Amino acid sequence: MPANNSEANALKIFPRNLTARADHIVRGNPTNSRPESGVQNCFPGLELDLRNIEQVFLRGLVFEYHREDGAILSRVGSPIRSVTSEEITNRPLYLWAMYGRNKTDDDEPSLWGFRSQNGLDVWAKIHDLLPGRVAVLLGPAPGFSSPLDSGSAETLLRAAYDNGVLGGSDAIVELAVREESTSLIQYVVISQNRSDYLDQQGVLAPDLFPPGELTKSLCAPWVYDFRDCVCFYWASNKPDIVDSENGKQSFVNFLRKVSDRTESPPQDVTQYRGRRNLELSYENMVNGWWEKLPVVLNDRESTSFSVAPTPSLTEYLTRDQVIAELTYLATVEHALIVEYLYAVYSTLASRLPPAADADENTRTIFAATNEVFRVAVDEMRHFRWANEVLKILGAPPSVDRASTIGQPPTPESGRKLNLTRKYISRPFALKPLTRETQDWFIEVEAPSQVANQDLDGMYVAILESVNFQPDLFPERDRILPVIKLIIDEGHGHFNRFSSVKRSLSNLSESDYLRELSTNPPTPQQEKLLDLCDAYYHSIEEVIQITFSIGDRSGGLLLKAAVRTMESMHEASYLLASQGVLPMFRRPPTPPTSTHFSRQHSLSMLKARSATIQDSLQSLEAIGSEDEKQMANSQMARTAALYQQLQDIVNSSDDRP
Amino acid sequence: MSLQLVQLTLPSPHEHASPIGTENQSFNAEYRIIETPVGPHIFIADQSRLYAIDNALSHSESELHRALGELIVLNEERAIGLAPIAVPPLHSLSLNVAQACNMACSYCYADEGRFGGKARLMSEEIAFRSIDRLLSEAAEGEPVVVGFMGGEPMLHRELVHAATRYAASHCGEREVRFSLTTNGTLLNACDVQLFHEFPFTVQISIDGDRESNDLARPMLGGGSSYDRIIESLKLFSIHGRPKQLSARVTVTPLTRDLPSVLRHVMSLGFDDVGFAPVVVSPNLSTSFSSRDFESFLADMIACGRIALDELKNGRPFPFTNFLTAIDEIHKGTHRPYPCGAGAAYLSVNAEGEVYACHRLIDDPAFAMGNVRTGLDQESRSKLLARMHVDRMEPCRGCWARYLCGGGCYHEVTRRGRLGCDYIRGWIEFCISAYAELSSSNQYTHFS
Repeated sequence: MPANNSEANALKIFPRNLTARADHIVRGNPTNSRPESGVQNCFPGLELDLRNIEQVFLRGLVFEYHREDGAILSRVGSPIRSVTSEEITNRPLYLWAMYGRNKTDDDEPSLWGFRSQNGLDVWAKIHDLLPGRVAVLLGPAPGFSSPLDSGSAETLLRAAYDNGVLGGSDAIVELAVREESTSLIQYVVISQNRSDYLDQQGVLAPDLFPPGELTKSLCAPWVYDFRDCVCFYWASNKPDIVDSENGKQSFVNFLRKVSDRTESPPQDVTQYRGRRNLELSYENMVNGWWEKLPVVLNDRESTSFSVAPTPSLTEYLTRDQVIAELTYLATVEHALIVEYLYAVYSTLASRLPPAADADENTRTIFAATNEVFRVAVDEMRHFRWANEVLKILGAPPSVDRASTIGQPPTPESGRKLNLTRKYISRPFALKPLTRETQDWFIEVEAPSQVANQDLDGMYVAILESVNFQPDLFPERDRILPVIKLIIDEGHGHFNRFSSVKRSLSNLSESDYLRELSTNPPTPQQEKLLDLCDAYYHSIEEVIQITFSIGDRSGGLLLKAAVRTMESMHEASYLLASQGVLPMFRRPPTPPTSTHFSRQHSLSMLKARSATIQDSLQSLEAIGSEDEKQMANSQMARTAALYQQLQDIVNSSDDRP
Repeated sequence: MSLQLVQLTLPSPHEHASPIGTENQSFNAEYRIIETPVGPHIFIADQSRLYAIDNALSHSESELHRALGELIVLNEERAIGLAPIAVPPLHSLSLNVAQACNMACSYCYADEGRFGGKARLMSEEIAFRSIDRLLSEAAEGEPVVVGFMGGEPMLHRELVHAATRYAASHCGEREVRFSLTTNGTLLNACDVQLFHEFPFTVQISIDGDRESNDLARPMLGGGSSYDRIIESLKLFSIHGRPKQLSARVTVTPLTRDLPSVLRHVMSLGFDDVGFAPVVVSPNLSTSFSSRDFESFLADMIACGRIALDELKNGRPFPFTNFLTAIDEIHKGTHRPYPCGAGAAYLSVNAEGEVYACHRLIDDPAFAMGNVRTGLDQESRSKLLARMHVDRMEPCRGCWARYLCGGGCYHEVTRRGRLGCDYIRGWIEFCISAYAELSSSNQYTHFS
């Protein structure tokens, strides 16, 4: 309130310009949180359902607008005397007509009849009423169906209005006309001043609006409007399209109105209204369907949902076991990265997106392959995150590659053996992206919310062990988000591999897989293979150095690993285009789970740089034009990269 | 509504006779109580904050001091510290394409464009190098402004055209805008088309109706400069208007009846009209003395009241001096410098030497490098250190200093600060007008 509207004795100060306004913190809610500032261009609104404010626009009367057949009087009480609540219990009264002043025509009062209007239309007129006298006509059926003609109705309303004005702001004029024989109400006229819904302090009058009154019809599963919300609107927990529970029907409407939601086929209706008719109605939703709708997990409906029992304390992993498990899981991530990459190189997809006019098969193959590649990149991130958690736990990095995926623990591994658990136990293998391989990828990424089931379950076991044993894991708050991310992204991988399978299902394997050379590699190809391996080993080493140096490298080392990865990717595609796939061979001495010292890191970098440069030089000497060109550009890039790596390592100290 | 003021609380003004930073500074320099038709207001220098206050508050000394203690901060939390700003990237560069003029205005600070030297024209090479310099010194991706000044820039029309096209074709993705200050007597259809084609702000100097304009602004070879301007304005209606077409009225102590001048020039069809008093001129009779400023202030306020009435009634009235002030007060503009000279704005002479602004061309004290060899960052930095308003007397004791900035370098170095009372009076009037406007229902610009 500006200061010039000063109230007696109140010393006020009012920030006038923008800097003054920005310099204050004002107590209380901002003006845009006032009820009348609520969203009104959609219903029920965002902050509150504005219809609920106008329920009590006249004292002693509560109206209901959430209906198609108009507004009804749902409750009545003091100070109204002409109608009793018993009377309206079985025979509701409808708002037929109203006489008052509104925002658009504020000089003279106007008359509004509500024949064949829905509740929202009636509400809109009431919402626009100005403060002051209002007269209403109520009757026992929808619309205006009284024995009165409209002229007499207007005369009555005017008379009630004018008498009320004469009587003052508190005056209430009431007239109830009943049938003589039955005493049933024929019509009622009431004139009052429109009630204020805010009290003197500008807050909602608590006696008019009990808690929850204004929000009771907001969009929530237990109210009717849940039906209207579509995905990405605010009911983010309501899906639009789901798979049926038995998995037989894909892409069905979550709100479909069929008695057997599992078996009945969905009708194909494209028009909006037609589709709406096949969905559960507002009434269905309010009357219990909100409770019957199935839970949806991973896009599939499920009528049964059980939370796995929390493992007892003895089932949790100890700190050492968590470290051992993560040390192993990092090597699994590594193995999966390589398997996925190999599958990527095995298809006919080009490295870069196909031209816009490419045929559909080319585009499909590229899209599917690219999806696998993106999952591989995600796994690289998981590999990194697993190592970051190890770092947080003070354990050395783990960059080796697992020889078996889902391997049961050996006694020397330090991992905990769980006898109730199913171990996948599949040897690492490089396979083209055949259907069998696709199934394997789907299987290995299958989600599991249950601890100790599948790979995903191993992370769940770690999550629970860390979560429920804060004393053992003071770093809990830093670890939990990372593990959760790995689990959540794993769910996405399952879906993405499933969609890869779907999109390739119309092609035969020979349509999308490269024909691999059966001859032994040529000398140039040998050089390329060596180069790919050198890059591969280089990436492992850089990552191990990164986690030995830790954050002190400022992320530069990881960036270097990514750039090396790009070089490897380029060389692998060149090789694959000749029908030979990179072999990802292990170095003579695979990395062990230890911290590298600075000196060791430096000598390792020097040696690796020399190996890569050797491979590049021989490739430049004997390779094709493409190979020469690539070797040339990678030579300069690698030299600069390794110089930078050595500088970083040199400037770090030797602390693990 | 109650307001919680969250400035740190200080001892009452009586208790501290002191310091901003480490030096003595008057508490009075931190605020000003301004009576307005919509009640009293407090203007706080720091952040140029403006508060409406109760009459009761303004009359209670103890309450007022308590409020001031909460509003005024005298330490490092102030928005403007004593440290000069770092030299910012260049935003705007004006090219003095013709240091010569076809007119003989009695008050010309630039000595008919020669700035005391010989008449000369800028070469194309210098103009292009200047633009290259602007583009390379500007912040990545930020828009830049190329200005054309003189003398009369249209004496070197070919260069204005060439430089405009050069800048537009060399700016890449960056937005480039243009400004041109001209006497408006030499414009032809091609020029007007150029100003329409590229985003130009064209500012034409005109001093009133035909009689008063021609008296103050005679052509060198005789003839009416007013008539020529009117002819030029017709060209704009035929060939298209620039983005902004402004009139600049130069006011001397001899100028009479500013409201009439304002209304007349506005009637000619400019987008906006502004006044500038002559402070520095070779001719003493045409430059303002301290006393002249008193009547100038009264005239300006008369013009301001006209603008205020029009705006309050929902009608536009583009009187630049007034609108700019109102806008800055609304935003709470606060700066320790009067303008961007030497900072984000520089000016190049015909030979490619760079100066702090177009008025300071050829002044060695404001030399800032050369477009060929580079800008002199040290000189720019020293200028900003030297001209910080909190380091200057009497500025640092003035409540209006962060809106004024300490006065035009050109005027201050040549004549001192003659117009301080005028500036304070004008700002006070504008603050009052702002208070009225912002509480008026008709004027919705601030809502």
